[in-house]
Amino acid sequence: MSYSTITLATAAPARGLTIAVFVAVLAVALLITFWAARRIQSATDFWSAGRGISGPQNGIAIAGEFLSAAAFLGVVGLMFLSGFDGYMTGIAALLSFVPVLVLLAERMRNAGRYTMADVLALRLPIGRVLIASGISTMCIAALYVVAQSVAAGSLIEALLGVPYWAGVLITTAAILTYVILGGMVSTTWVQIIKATLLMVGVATMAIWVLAKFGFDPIRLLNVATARSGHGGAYGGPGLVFPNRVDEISTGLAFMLGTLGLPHILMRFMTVPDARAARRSIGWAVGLIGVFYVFVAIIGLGGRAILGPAGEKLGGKSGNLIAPYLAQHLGGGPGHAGGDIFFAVISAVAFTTLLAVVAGVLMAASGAAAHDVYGTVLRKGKSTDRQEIVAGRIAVAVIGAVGAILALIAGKTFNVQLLVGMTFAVAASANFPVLLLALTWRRFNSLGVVLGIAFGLVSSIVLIILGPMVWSPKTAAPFPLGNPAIVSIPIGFLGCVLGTWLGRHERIGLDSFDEVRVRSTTGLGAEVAPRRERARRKRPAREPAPAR
Amino acid sequence: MALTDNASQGDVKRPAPPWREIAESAEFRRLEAMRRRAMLLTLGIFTVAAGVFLILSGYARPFMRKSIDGGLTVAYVWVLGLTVLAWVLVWAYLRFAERLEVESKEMLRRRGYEEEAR
Repeated sequence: MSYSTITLATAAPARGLTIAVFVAVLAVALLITFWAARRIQSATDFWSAGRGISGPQNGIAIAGEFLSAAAFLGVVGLMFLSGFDGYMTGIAALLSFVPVLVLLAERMRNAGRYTMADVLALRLPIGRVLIASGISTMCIAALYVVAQSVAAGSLIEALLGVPYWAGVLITTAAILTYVILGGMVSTTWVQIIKATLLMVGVATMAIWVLAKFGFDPIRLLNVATARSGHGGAYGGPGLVFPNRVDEISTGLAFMLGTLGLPHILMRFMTVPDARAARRSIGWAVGLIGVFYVFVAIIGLGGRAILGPAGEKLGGKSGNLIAPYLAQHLGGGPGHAGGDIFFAVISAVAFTTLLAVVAGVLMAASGAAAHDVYGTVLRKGKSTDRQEIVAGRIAVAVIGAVGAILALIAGKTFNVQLLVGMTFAVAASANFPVLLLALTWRRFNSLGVVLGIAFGLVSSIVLIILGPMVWSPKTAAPFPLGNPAIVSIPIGFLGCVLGTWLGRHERIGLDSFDEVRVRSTTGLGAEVAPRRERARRKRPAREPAPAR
Repeated sequence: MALTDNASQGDVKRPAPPWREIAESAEFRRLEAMRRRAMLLTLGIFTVAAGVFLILSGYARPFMRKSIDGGLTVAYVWVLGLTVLAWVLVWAYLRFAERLEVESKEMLRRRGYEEEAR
């Protein structure tokens, strides 16, 4: 069938088959959850998978965590609608792993225990630091859950024929079951399986698309550009972001947001040592880079093959282009191949949603239960059992809040742009305080609190005042869809201002040396329980006198 | 589900390392300087390549849309180059970090922290 003469079905194909594949995915995830639930014996097991995840496994899990529904459905949809700008957001996110590796990966592993706040607490063991960090983590988690839930609702509505609100609720219920029972062990293995499925799925689609164009990527680009209706503008920046500063601001949010995403930073606590933390990044960057090349081919393929007719199927946001392209590649609606490929790619996207939201909720539960409840409210006197119970309650509450917000937000947003806002909040609230806590001796607790408050409030307020929230007919008070270029400096300003106002505080000065030595050498870092047991069997030695 | 308290803190009491003394030692400062140089180099290359890309995407759109071969534009070539650059920078930093870790563990061994240097 020529790509210029295809017809497209607007009804979901082979609904029975699609439902069967979805149920199979849920069942496999549930089996993993029950297996993982039996392995949880301590807080380290629940939040850090017993620090028993290897570097390559963690790298694949990071890729799984990072390659969300936004990265797959959202980028494909943006590329279909507007070409290059969609690809830019994906590659900017990939680039963020360079500063993550250089600035944070080893330091987080050496200085942390379960959560991002542990790193801050090592420098500044004061309740207000943990409360500020906990609030920031929970806000970011809720925003991230909203983005993924919007994709889940749209996907399930289109594929299974149930209303959007029911799709959001079904997904939230499934994810809460996995996270509450299985903790980080089940989350990690769901991530690994999901990343593998996703890579195989996008590789198959990309090769199939290229095969249709004689494995000539230039021909694919030419046809996509010709069928876009935008001419040469389709191959360059500007269609998604007509405002020049908005383009730069969105790129900045994706390049720096990962440095403040609690669910990504938390993954560095699941490996046995700093070397494994570094190797994780190597694996993650390799996989994510290849993934975005495939996704670019799929996005352009969507435009070249489906043409303008695809706009009806993909919706205003373009979020559903990938499954409908799969359907077409498999032979079209009504053909066994088309229906099977449609169901499989939809199920892969659904697994992606499950896995990412599970990881985000783990980070939020760690912040609520370990940082706020265990350390601040119970002053470190809570047992592992109490913290885990508190963590499970926190997961249920944050998951429910995210689902309600997703129902309010509705399905017309492109999920990649929604995630971009979350990245802006993370880059503004968490990145400045983490960077300065690890590198600035005079940084103090008031600096942390004001840094998080300035970054969090400014980014959220500017998003609310921006064009993504205001009706297109009304001029938004703030002109940028993504506020990172303004809110990140405000976050740093809060850190500096707080540090100046609290300049008489001495508590963080001495601990700075510990943080420096720990983060560089690993001396004093949390040890994996398995290694610790082996260590205890050997006789303890006093350290030699310092030279 | 049987829960036990976290064992990772260990029961064997060891004196806290002399953080200030280690941090001020010449060998630790040398390690930190090595790491700082590698960090600055990696981040410098990253910032220039990514920063120039973002600025051109915002303010030199006709240049970024310029065709190199049909639909293949300067923007696509640049962004693919950034992907390769990310791989190269990560690979190079991982190799450097392995070297730094060997030296760091030798320092810990010399100070009697055999277990931590494993």
